[in-house]
Amino acid sequence: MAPAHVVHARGLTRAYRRGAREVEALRGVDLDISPGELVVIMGPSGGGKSSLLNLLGGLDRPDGGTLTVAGVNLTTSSQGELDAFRRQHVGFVFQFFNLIGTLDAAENVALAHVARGEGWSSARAQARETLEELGLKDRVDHRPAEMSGGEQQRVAIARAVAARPDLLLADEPTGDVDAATTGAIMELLATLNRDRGMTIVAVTHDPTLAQYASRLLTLSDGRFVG
Amino acid sequence: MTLLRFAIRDMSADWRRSLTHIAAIVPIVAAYLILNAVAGGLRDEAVAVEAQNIVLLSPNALDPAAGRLAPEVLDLVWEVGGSDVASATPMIFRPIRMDDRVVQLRAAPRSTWDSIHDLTLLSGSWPDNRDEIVITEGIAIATDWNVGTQAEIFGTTFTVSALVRAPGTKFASVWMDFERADTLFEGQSGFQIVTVEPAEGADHFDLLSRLDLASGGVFSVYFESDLAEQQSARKGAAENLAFVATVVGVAALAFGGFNLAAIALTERHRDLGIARSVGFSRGSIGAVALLRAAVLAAIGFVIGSLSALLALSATSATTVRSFVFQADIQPRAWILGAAITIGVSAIGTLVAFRTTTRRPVRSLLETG
Ligand SMILES: Nc1ncnc2c1ncn2[C@@H]1O[C@H](COP(=O)(O)OP(=O)(O)OP(=O)(O)O)[C@@H](O)[C@H]1O
Ligand SMILES: [Mg+2]
Repeated sequence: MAPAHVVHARGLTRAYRRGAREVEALRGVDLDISPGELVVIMGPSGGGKSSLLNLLGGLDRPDGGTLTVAGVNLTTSSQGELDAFRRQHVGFVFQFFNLIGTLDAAENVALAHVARGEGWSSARAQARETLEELGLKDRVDHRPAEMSGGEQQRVAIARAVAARPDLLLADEPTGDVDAATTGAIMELLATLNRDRGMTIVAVTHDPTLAQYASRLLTLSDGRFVG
Repeated sequence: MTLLRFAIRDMSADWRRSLTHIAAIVPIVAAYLILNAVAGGLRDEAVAVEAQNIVLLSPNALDPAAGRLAPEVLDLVWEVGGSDVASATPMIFRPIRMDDRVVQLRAAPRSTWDSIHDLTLLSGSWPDNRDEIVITEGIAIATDWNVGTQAEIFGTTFTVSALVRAPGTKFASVWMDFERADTLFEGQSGFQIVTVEPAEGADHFDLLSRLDLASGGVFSVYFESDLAEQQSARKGAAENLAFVATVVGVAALAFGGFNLAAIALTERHRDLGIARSVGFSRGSIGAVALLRAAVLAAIGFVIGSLSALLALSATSATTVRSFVFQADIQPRAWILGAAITIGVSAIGTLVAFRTTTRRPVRSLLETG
């Protein structure tokens, strides 16, 4: 039985210590996301968007509040449980540095399978399939340095969805590419949501994705507004 | 298994960094092994002298070969020693260049070689031709010369007629008849050593002190066996130095390996962040990093060892003053070197790894 909510968050807080000062990045965030939703988060720089995504993806732990993602309680998880959570339940796409430079596209995607304990050959074979499905057939053997920024991001998306996670998190995935490529990447995310029912939380200011979004949220000064 | 493939894939793809890593290890390994071999070579040379001969050398010369005794010294020995002296023979003792090698030449009257200087024939035959010489084991080990080898000395071609064994300070030397050497050098160097053989039943110590009293600072007097001991003491000092050098080599190896491994890992914090975000545990990433460091260290060690062997075989013997010795890499030096290189790389990786992965995953992904 699928959980009622993929994300269930109440009163999330996160503060960073910067020297003597405390920066409150999140000041009490409530959020429920149902399976199959496409949630777009916008907001000013420093508003806390990346901080929230890091919590949702188990890359960081909240200071206060409760958080359950894909049925896993992330408020109390150990480091090892967080590793397992990332392996099984989420896929990430960041703005920069998504790919390992020494590995080719297929190997970068294969990482998601290898992390789950699969053998190298079967992982690579599955990775090729995923890349073909996403229209990257002729980039399979290319290293990141041999691909355009847009292609690299599409490979990163392929890796993020390769292991069929419950939740795909994208933090400004088009921050580093031109307008035409941005459109293509956003279409890809929208397609994944529509055709595969992939639950997506994306931080972006791009209107292309916003038009497909089931919800548009604005995070400012550590809180949802409007 | 998958992790090993991963590590190898990563190394070969990132060959530039891998090569740099290996290239940094190679000279340290080579230097360590060479130092160790030289120390070992010094340790190996045997010293054993039976006969209680007395030798006269020119005084205060750091190197006996640099001194020069006048022919009158022989007369003085007979005068002072009288019936306590069985024989007193001169010896030319000097470094010479032979086929681009510097070797120790000893020229004494042919009749004294086996009787007074204790040379024993191992192969070939004693010279019966004016242009024949013999070489000792120490020389044969250090060069590829053997019976029948021809070599040029002072513009004349000599043939090696025999391989002999010689005790103590004579362990590595080339022997020529005194007369032949004297004409070869045109009498220009006189001689450097007088060997006095005490008569049967004579008091060696008394003879030594009488010769010493009469020396008037023109020569110094020693028992040949004491000289051998002195030499081994000097060798002991050289050996200590070589030991210190080896310790320094080991430290360099340890420090170098550690740092390389540490740098290799911290440089790639973003890759670590990516792997962590995909769900790799710290443990499995650590295993890949360890494998990588160990394989690179092992390759570096092998290439470093080959370089050391090559360097040592290019100069098959090392000549320091009047010593000639063979530098050989000791088996325990290989084992110790390999253990340090690989072990320390592993420790460096682990330490760097601990500090790196203690950072939150998100911070690994940030720039700078
Ligand atoms: N590791 C950190 N250490 C200290 N302060 C941090 C850290 N990460 C974020 N912050 C601070 O927390 C606040 C929220 O940052 P966050 O990155 O979540 O914002 P954002 O909405 O993603 O901004 P942007 O649109 O610029 O990416 C900012 O004031 C930021 O400077
Ligand atoms: Mg951000």
